Formats: sequence, structure tokens, C-alpha cells
Amino acid sequence: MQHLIKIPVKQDGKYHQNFEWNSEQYKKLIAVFCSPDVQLALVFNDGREVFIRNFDFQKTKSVPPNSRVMFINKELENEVITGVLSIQNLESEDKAVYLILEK
Amino acid sequence: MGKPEFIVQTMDAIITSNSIHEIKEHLDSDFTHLVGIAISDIHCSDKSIINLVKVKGIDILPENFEAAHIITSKNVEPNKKFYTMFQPVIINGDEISVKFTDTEFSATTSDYRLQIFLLLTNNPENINRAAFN
Repeated sequence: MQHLIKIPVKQDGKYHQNFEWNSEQYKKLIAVFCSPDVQLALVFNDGREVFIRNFDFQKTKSVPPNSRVMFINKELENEVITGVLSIQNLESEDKAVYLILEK
Repeated sequence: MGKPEFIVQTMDAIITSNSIHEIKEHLDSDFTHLVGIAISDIHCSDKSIINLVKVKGIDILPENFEAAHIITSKNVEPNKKFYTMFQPVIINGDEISVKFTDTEFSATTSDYRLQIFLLLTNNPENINRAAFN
């Protein structure tokens, strides 16, 4: 069974926003996606394992929704997932990172 | 004749402003699982927000989910328009409630009909494997 989790990232006038999230209830991170038009960096294992470095998530309406995610398929061991969202327009609305997880 | 493997149920609302519109409907009682959701790219803006999708008190999508993630253009094959990567919800003719906001609707925007498509099935595992992933 897949669970979809939203990590809201407040837009407060900076080009880079940090976030962190504790994965303790979940066994596996299947995939990730973000608000349109942001770049994502995603890090595991107390900052030692970089999975994604500034990857672009763009508006892609011509692609099936299930194919707009980035598949990761990483086993989780009660760890904190951290990351950075980078935006290009300071006047844009709040953003979010979405994790697709298995319990 | 047996029941079909799945059905696409449509919810309609006329969008008239940039405020929250609530749509409620009972799900088809011949089907046991809600497994997918889609919006076709006809009128609503890319900045639209799905404030809430709820069945039996369960949130299907996170609150204030950006509609852009499930809006598809005409180029996408019909059976691949659905977003299905959430936990299938067991249903039994329950009411579904959707709250939707088109944040870019302005005084110069014409009213339009929003259509939200729901994918229902009795075999949630088969439907994902066969056609939608």
C-alpha cells in the first residue's frame, strides 16, 4: 500500500528553503515529487547520502501523472530525510515536497 | 453479463470565482475501491488547488494539493490520465467531498465546468499492474 505524504515548505523570501522529515513510521521511500518549477535536493543518513542534487521538477501536463515522480525505492531505517527546495521566483506561492511511502 | 473491471465516475461543478467550491457525490456502490483521480486540462488554471478530497473522514490526497500534479493534457493516453499513487480507499457507496479553488480565476475569467474523474474498481492490485503504472 502506498501512502502520499506532503511536506509543506513555507515561502518566506529566500531562494533556498530547507526541510526535514522523520520517516519513523515507514519502511520504504518509493518515489518523490515536488511543486512545479522548483529544484530539489534530497539527503539521507544524517546528511551523508545525497540522493538528488538540484533536480528540476517542471510543469509537465503532457506526461501521465504517475510518470511525473522520481522513483527512489530506498529502504528506510527510522531516519530523518532532509533536503533543500530551490525556487527562481521569490513572489511564488508556498511549495511542497511529496513523498510516496510504504509502511 | 459480469460487472466491468473498473468504472470512471465524473464529478462536475461550475467554477464561478476564486473562492473554494465544494462538490459532493455518492460513489458507485457496485465498486469497492477508489484507486485514481484525474482532471483534464480544459479550463482550470495551473495554479488551482485541491483543498481537500475526503471519503469516510479519510483524506485521499494531502490538504491543499496542487492540482497541476493530476491535470493532464489531450496528449496523454486516456488510461494513463489517472494519478493512482496513494493508498486505495475501501468504499461502499460512500459520499466523497472535494474542495477546489482556482486561485487565478479573475473578473475577466468566464465561468467554466470543472470535471474531476474518479477511478473505481473491485480489483485494486490488478488495475495498477495492468494499465496505470
